[in-house]
This record gives sequence, structure tokens and C-alpha cells, in this order.
Amino acid sequence: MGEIVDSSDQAVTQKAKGGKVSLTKNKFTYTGTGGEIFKIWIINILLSIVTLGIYSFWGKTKMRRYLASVLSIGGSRLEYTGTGKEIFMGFIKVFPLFAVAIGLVIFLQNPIVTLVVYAGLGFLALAGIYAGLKYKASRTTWRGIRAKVEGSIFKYALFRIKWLFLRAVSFGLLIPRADLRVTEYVYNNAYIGDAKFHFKFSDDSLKTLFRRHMATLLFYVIALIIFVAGFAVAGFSTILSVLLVFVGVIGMVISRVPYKVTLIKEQMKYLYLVDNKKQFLRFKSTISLKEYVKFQLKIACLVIFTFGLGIPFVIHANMKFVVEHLIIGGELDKLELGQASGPREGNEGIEDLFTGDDGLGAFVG
Amino acid sequence: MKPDLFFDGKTSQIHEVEVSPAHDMIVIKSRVTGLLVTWSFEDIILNELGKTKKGRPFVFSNKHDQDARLHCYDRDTSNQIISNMHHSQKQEWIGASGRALLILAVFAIFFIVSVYKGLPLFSKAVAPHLPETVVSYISGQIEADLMRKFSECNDAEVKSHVEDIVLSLEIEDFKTKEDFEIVLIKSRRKPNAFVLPGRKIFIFSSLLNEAKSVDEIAGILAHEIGHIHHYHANEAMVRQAGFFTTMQMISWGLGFGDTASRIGVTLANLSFSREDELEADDFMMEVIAKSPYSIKGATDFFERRLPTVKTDNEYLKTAEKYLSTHPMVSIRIERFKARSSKEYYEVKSKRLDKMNNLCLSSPTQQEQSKNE
Repeated sequence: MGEIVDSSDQAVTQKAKGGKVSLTKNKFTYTGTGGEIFKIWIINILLSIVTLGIYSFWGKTKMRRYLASVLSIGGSRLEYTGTGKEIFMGFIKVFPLFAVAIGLVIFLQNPIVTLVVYAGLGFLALAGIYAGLKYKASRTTWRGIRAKVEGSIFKYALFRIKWLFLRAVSFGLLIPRADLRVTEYVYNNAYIGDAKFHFKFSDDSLKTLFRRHMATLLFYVIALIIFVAGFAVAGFSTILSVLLVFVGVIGMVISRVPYKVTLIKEQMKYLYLVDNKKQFLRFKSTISLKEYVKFQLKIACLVIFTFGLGIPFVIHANMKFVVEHLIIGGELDKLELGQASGPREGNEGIEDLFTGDDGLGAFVG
Repeated sequence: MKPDLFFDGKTSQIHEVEVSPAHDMIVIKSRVTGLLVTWSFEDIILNELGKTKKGRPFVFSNKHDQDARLHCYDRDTSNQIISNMHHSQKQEWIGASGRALLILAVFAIFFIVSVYKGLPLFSKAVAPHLPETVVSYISGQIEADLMRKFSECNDAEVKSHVEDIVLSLEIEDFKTKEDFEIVLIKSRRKPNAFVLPGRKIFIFSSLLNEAKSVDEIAGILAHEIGHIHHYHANEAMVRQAGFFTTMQMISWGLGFGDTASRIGVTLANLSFSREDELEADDFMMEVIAKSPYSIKGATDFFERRLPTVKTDNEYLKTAEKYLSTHPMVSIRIERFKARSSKEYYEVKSKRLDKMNNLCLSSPTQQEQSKNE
């Protein structure tokens, strides 16, 4: 494994030195349509209402199956193999735990119990994010090979809590480092079959992200001042006040966009997939700030002006946007992927409750 | 047309294959290396409904090797395989989905009937038997919440007078002052009275201030005792808990969060509340008929609450019918007037003593803001 990491490092070093790594460019092909997504979405909503929410588990699966089936790379389509029954059973299995926890809060009315229960649920919510990721990965296949995310969901939850704490005590200064660390944790546990993903960010990457973070924070503060000033001048000029409040709100909303764009680019820049013959794939995001802002405005309009009925078209636009801006470098057909080791169900022991076919993974996923 | 593809589930190698259905199996042959595998029809699973018009294949797997996949782009071959499969193998095939939906729909109808018809019956049966500790705990919680918004009128004389009116109604279980508790609340809001689970009757001072006769107050008190007699507050508690749990599960499933459940619970309770009010009115009429008071008191009280502008607009009438938590005032008055004429139209006691002046001194600023 050490050698494999080295090979990735060599590519990073080569790039850092200004050398270009010449690789074949591959892109996902997306053949879905907004109309088809709308059809699945509206049927899901209607059937979920008729069946008092029960169909939503099957509906969610149907949407995932569709979205996977219209994505292909290297001429092969992705396939989602999860089932509604798995998610429903996960709900049935985990629901009593939540019901008892909330029941304790309501009936005991004890501040200590409330605090403990909410802290526990917060911890489980974080674990659930990772469990959901593991579940979805294990049920997504390409050329018959399953994806996989390894690692304990509880360790992930503790890791997230540690970085949330550090973000807070550093007054947000550690946000870039926290974001990269979390990315590192997830990517370095991810596989497609027996090929492992590797992510190792550089100091340059951290510095770039930190500079963008500080600049966007400054932008946010300025927007906030304009927003507050809008209220302060309300007594003098109503039109000016409304204008300032409007500009302030828009400024605050878009202030973090440049940071997000830089983060996505950095997250892709140092990501590699390496197979057992040391063939590797590299990833690159071609998102530009202008395109991202345009895209965000487009989806905001789609949701607001259609009173939510445009959500399927947002899903469609989102898929198209991601696919258009993701380049995968490397010889796809030379990749030799073996099947992912271990059962699809995840881990053993108490984690089975959360990551198994019918656990929290299915519930959250 | 794109060739059919086979993935063995062990490596990512793509096999371009020819699929030939035989009498009880399909033969999957690689175009390069020859025979790859044979799958018995009874082992094949159809993983999704294929749509070849978009170039999407029918995807088949084998129940003994679920990682292996056959992506069949040829519609005729796919249909031939499907026609040889048992319906239980067509996991996402329309037949199976249709059946599942039918079962779910039947379940949903059963569930709706259970909730709308069964829950009221259940709550009616359970309400009288709720443990005293649970009732007093919940009642205490509601009262504590209430008293954060309002303050109590501490006028012992008026309170005693109201208690005397209750005793004079001669209702079973309400024979002594220990059988119930009167709480007078300082408020200039719309005249109102209500009960909480248990035996506490809350009366807004505005109701006593605006009363024109003791008969009015007696009518309202008898109505509230009607709620206690029929355990309406306990029933509402059980119903609300049942509805809330149900709606919470539904809204959770739909991903709408808490909002849908809250709206659902409120609407569900409204219709029951109207039935309860009419039942309490019936009780009141029975009690008043045997008491020294007249139903005219209650009639007067409600007539003063009739809207000053009446509408002939059918839409507004329908809106009032469905959106009000109480029955339409006009309907209630009609029911009172339908009682025997002997009992009617003679207000027997106009002595209101100090009740008209209860808590009328200027409220403090804090009390005023609380009331607002």
C-alpha cells in the first residue's frame, strides 16, 4: 500500500513542480430528463400521501435507481441496487430508539436527561450521515463492481465532533483545515471494488483555502454591516433602507460561494483512485465562480417561482452541472478492478444496528 | 444497436455477449471467448424496468450470484427472458409494484378509518380510566403554561359566589366545594370559560363582567361541567397524542418535518371539538331544566356573541362551518330555543353582586402586556 501512496505522491510532486501529468480525459454521461424525474417525483409524493408516508421508502429508492441508471462513464452505466424494503426495515428498527429518547424528554421534563438525550441524538445524527454514505456506496455498482466506504461510524462521529469543537474554539479560523480533514477521512476510507481512493492535501492547498476563507468572511461582515445599516437609516429614507437591506441579504447569501467553489476544486485536485496494478485515476473540477453563482441563482429561481414544483428540475440541473464540471483523468479501460471485499451489509456487532441492510444506514440513507 | 453486456461481478472486465434463451435457461456467450455462463430462468431476477428507447438496458441478475449483471439492450431477448420468469422474480416489474401498491392503499384506507373512527372511540373508552397521576401531571403542565400568560383574580367573595352557583345546580359529584376548583382569570379578552383534564373550571373575568344575569353564568358553568362529566378533556388528550404520533410519522416519512403533523393535528381536533361542545350543551340543558335557572341565560349570552354583520355568502358560511373550533353560534341558539317553552324566557335571578366588577381595576403594565 505504501508504494501506491507513493505513486500518488509522485503525481502530486510532478504537478507541484509545474510538470503536466498527461492523462486521457473522461467525463460522465448523463442522459436523464427533467420530465422523467418529475414523473417519478410527483408519483412518489402522491403515493406517499395515499400510503401515509410508507411509500416514500420505495419512492426514494426508485429515484436513486433512475439517477444511477442515467449516469454512465466509459460506456458503462451505474446501477443502484438498494431496495425500499431495506430502508423501510431500517426505519422500523431504529424508530423505537428515537421514540423512547423523545418520550424520555417529554415525560421526564428533566434538563439533564434532555441534554443527554439531545447530545446522544446529535451524535447519532453524525454517525447516521456516515452510515448513510456507507449504505449508498455499498449499493452502487459500476461494471458489476460495488463501491465501499470503510471505517466505524462512531469514530467518524467522534472525529466530526472533535473538528466541530476546534472550529468553534478557533472562532472559525480552523474551518478550512476542518473541511479538508473531514474530506480526507471520508475519501481515504472509500473504494470502488478493491481500488482505493487516496486524498492528501498539501500546505499550498490549505493556504489557498484559508486566504479564500478570510476574504469571504470579510465580504460577509461587510454585507452584514450594509444589512444593519439598512435598518438604521429606515427613519430617513425608506427606499434607501430597502435597497441596503436587499443588497446586504444578497451579499450575505453569496459571500461564502467563492470559498465553496475553491473547496470543491481542492477536494478534487488531490483525489486519486489507485487499482492493484497501480493504474490510477485523477479527478478535477472545472467549476468557475461565475458558473456556480449562475447555477445557484437558477436553482433558487426554480424552487421559489414554482412553489417547490420545480424541485425535480433542480435535481436534473444539479446532476447536469456536476457531470459537466467533473473530469476524470486516466485510462478507464485499463483499470483492473476486483470486487469489493466483505459483505455488503457493513460491520458486525452494535454497528449492525446502524449500518446493516436494515439499520440506521438504510434509515438515514 | 449496442451489444448486450455481461459483468461477472468479480472484475470490472466488460464482456460483449450474445444471449440465447433455451427451454429452461439462458445461455450467455462471450463474443470473444465463447461460453461464459448459463442462468436458469428460475434463478433470474429482473432488477429494474428497462427502457430501451433511451438506450437503457434491462438489467438481470442471478439470485445465486447477485454481483453478476447482464445488461440486455435487445428488447426482444429481454421480453423473451421476462416472459419465462415467474412474476415473483420481477422485483421491480409493474405487476409486483402494482400489487404492493394495492396492499399499501388498502392498508392506508384501513389506517385512515382506524384513526378517524377508531381513535375517537378508543379515546372515549380510555378517557375515564386514565390514571389520576397522568391526568394531574398533564393538567398541571397546561395550567403552568397558562398561568405564565395570565394572572389569577384573587377575589374570594366572587369565587365563593361562583362556587355557590355550581352547588345550586345540584349535579351529582359536584355537591361540595371540594369536588371541584374554580379559577378566576384576569382577562379583558372575549368572554370565555374552559376546563382542563381533572376538575378545574377556568373562567375569564370578562365573562363575569359582561354577564347580564346569574342564569347566564349558571348556563356556562353547567356547560363546562358537561365537559368534565363526559371526560372531554381527557379524550382530547388521548386523541391529540394519537394524532400527533400518527401525523409525525407521516410527515417524517414524507420529509416535511414537523409542520405537516402540527397542521394535521389541529384540523383533526377541530371536528371533534364541535361534537364535544354539542354534547356539553345537551348536558347543560338537562341540568338547567332541573335547576332554579333558565336556559334563556345561555341563549342571551350566545345571542350577544352573534356576528353583528350577517352574511348570505355560502362560501363564508362553509368556511365558518369547517374552520371554527365551536359549532356555529346560530345552531346552538336554535337548539336552546327548541327546548320546551315552559323552561324558556324567564330569567330567574338577576343578582350579580360583585361579579360584574371582578378584576376591573386598572391592570398593572405587566398584567396588561400579559393579557395582550
